[in-house]
Amino acid sequence: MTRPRHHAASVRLVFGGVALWLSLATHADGALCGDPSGDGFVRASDALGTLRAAVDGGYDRRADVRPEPSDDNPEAGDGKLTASDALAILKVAVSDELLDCAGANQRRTVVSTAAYDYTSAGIAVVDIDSHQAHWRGGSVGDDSVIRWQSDQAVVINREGSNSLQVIDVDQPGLPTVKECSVWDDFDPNPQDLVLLSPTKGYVTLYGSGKLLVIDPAILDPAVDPACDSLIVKRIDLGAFDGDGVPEMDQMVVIDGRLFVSLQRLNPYPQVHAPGKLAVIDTSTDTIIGSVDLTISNPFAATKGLVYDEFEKRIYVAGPGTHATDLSDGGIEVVNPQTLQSEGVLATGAELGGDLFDFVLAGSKRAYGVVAGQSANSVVEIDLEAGAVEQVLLSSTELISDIELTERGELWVASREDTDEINPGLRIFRISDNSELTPAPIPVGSLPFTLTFAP
Amino acid sequence: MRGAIVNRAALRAIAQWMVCAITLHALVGVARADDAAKEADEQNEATELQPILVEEKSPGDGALPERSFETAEDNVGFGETILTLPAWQGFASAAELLGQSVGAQIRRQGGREDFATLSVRGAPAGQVRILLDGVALGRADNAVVNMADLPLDSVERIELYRGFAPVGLTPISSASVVNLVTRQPTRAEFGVASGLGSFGSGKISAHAAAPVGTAASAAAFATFRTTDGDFEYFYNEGTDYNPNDGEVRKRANNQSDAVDVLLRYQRPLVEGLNLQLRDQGFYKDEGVPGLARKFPPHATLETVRNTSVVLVEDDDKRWAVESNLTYERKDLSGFGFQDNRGRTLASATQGRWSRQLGKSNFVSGSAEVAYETFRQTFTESVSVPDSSSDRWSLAMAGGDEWTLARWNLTASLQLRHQELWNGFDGTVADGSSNTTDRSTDPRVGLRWQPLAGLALKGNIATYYRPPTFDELFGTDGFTEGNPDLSPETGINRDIGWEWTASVPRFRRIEVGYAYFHNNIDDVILVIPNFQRVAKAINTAKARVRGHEARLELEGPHGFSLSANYTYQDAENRSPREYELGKQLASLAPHEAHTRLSWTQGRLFVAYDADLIGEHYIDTPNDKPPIPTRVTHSVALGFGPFAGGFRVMLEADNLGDDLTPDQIGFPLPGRAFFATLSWSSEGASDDRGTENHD
Repeated sequence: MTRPRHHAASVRLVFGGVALWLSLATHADGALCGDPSGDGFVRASDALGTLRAAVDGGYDRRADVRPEPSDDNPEAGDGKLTASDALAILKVAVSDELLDCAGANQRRTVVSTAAYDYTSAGIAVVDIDSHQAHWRGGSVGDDSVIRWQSDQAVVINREGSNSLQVIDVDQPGLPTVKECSVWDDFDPNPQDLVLLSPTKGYVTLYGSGKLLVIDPAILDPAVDPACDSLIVKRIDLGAFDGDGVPEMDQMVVIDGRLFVSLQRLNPYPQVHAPGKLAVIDTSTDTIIGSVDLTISNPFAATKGLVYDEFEKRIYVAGPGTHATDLSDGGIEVVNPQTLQSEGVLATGAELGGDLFDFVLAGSKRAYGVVAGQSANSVVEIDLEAGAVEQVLLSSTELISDIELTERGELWVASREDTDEINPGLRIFRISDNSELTPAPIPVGSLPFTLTFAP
Repeated sequence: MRGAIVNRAALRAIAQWMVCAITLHALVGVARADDAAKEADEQNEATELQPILVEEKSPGDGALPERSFETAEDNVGFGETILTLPAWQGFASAAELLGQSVGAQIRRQGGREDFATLSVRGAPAGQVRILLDGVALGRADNAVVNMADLPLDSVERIELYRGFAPVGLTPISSASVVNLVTRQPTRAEFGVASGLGSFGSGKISAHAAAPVGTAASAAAFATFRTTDGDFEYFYNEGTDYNPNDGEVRKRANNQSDAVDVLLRYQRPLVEGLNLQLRDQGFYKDEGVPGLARKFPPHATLETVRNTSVVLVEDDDKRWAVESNLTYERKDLSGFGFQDNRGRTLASATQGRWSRQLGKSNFVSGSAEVAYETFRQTFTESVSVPDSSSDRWSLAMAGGDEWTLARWNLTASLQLRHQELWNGFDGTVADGSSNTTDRSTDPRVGLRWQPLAGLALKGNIATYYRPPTFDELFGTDGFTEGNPDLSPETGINRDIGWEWTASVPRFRRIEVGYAYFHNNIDDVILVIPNFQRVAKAINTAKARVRGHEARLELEGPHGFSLSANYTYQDAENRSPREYELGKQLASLAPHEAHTRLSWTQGRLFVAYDADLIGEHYIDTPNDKPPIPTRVTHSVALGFGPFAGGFRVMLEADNLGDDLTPDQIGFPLPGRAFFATLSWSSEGASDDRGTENHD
């Protein structure tokens, strides 16, 4: 069944002719349809919990799965919990099928592609149901990653290009809406982007000590064509590392505070100290604290820092010492209220190698990309036990990204390109970890990073 | 501990050097015996087929470099000799002259003094062997030679062997060979040149040669070149899709100062034998500007290279034994954690031999034993240990040119074999620290001259390029070694014709055409692996087919025309889904060069047009291609005058074409250069002219 695109989670507000784009959570980490308990599994107990909430008049968008989406009503859920929601969850709990829910508004996958030798890169948009893809090659920087923020696809062109590039993914040709440089001193190498409001955002720079405060309004093609006023302010994080460059990476904003992961390699690329989270007050753009991490080199290529909005926890992950020590690193939990680490849930030794990416299915379950001695693998991780539960896929070629839909589909960017298998997107159903794609979905080139869009 | 290892390596090299010197003397004795036998053979044979050599022109202090169709030592292959003697009186570089040759593509990363590599008939730069007087400039840690570092003012000619090279030149197979042959003045001469040009460019060049005693001679050449390299270009701030977000900038940190020196001493050793001592030094201190959009502000590279050579050869150069010792140091700084010093000590002894065998055969052979050690020290990074690698190499080659005079037919058969032993003092993940490579590469060529002046030629040969230390052992500290790498291999084929016409009033008319069809396999690329660590792997293959056409014409009234055109279909044959069938990146399908010159008395004028066609710069051909680049240049010279002076004015890129190069580097726009030179030969010519006048 192919469903039309919709934008349930984004609201366009117009005040006095000024268009403001507010993005509600298009993808909440740790939100799985049919899993109101938030443990990462759809079980009979979730159906029972849904029934209790229905009786009590409670509401949880993860459990609001009825009615199912249809051509007439493309959106799942009706804004309330009923016995039919509980029944649908119960059916899924015993059948391994997939569910849509009120929070699941992901209808497209936006993919940044990169050539085998990284000499060029492109953008693809894949329909999440039909798997039909549009692709435009050579259209972005050679080292680019994708974000979906403020209802738009933003490419972060990293080392070498150092720019933000807005792509119109509604057009088949995937044209560039606008590209603006964030070049700020020598090769700043932007890594992550948070658009906090229509006029304020942040960009982490891996090669600089300065965190950029930007004005996202400049990304509008009608405003400031030369992007002269994109960079509004610089916040100096250089003091967090002896060499003045703390290798800042992923970010998340929680309750007016910006958390920035810092790898603190000194001298680069030497791991010399545990990582940190810098904490910044977004109202004053001042540093108000930091969180000491246990793990070093928090380098996991997540789309921003992973935040479980239901459990109120930040998950930080990384390989630790890269390649030469497969036992360190792992997944660590941070309490954003106390600004304290709550410990490492799984180490590299427990995961079987260097962790380069992970997604949260719930408080007890995650999926990760782990590079061991001879291959890298997509694994299911038991966060309670701190152990690998199952290996879904292994390859001696690079598995560059994984993302999880709220329906419970794990999308894998597989760059394996051999006589046996072509590169493309592979999808696994996490209810039973079975692969749904008989062959990788071609995206015009080798997939590199991906995100979901309404 | 490491110091001890390196010292041992150095001692090994020095010991080898001494052994080679002793061997050399022994070989002299053997060779003399051979020489006596040869003389006896000569007396017994009614007819001797001499090796077919290109008649070396004597360009003297002519206006501009000239080209001839055939290389000096191989008339079965499609070669070219560029006679460069006049080049010291101007600003031209060896890379420029080579780039104007048919089938040769120079990939520049800026102006004359900036990094440049050479591709011939689509072969990667690392597969093209660059020799300076027969001594390899490519190193075991990096096979790619920076063509901007080649000397020119001390060079007499550049030999370009497209696809096939004579065994007498090198016993080691390669995709193509370039040999720069330095000047060997036979009489006293002196010269000095000084020039200035755009972008803070300047040069001073001087040379002197004189007899020493009754039989010996000595010569010295020295050139200093400098540039600020601060040409203007449009910097787009990395935003390829927003032309408004950018500005015109001056190229920064692109300055360089370079000195190259050649000292030569030669004398008869005993009757019939000559001794030559040669020392070639090179020093360059340069900024490393990096990509247009990514430039470290203070990165520098300092290069020091010195090669000392002892050569003994007989009078007619039928055999020679040569031993050389090279020291090279490269200091990269300003990159922070990548700062490093690489030191190479290389020694080789090569023997070359050729002789007539019967009435129809001309046999030749060469052998080389070489040792090379490379040590890399990282000055900033504490995570990358120092390392040392070494390589022993033994190469042998033999060939026969079998001529059927009745049919005007010459068949060339060659066989090359090389054995390599590599060692590394560190640990390689999942691999051995000792590797070996070997390759046996045959060549078959045919030359038929059905008519006077017309030669039909065809060749087929295999070659290989062994992996470098960096590829094998990850000596750069950021690449994971892969000792299991296979050498890059290839098959070269060509067929074509060359015609030299005798037309009244024309001093020279040469026309040539060649079709080439080459396969390249197991090309090594460095790719991030599953651990996100860069690792070299054998992964690419290609088929390059093309056509080369050339015309050399020296007409009446001082007019000359040199024109060539190369078409190449460089197809990626890698099996990967999105690469198969695409054009190889950075190889323009169409390239053309034309030079029209006019010489009248003391005046000469030349016009150059260069075309590099539209081409892709990324492997999958997804990016918009680099558009066609056409540059027009003129040169104006006058001399000799006032007792031997000459002046040369050059204007490059008159159309101010700012099309970037193959990998997106900005290239300089319009530029002007002026050189004033004086030479004793020019003084003689000037007196002659005055007398004539």
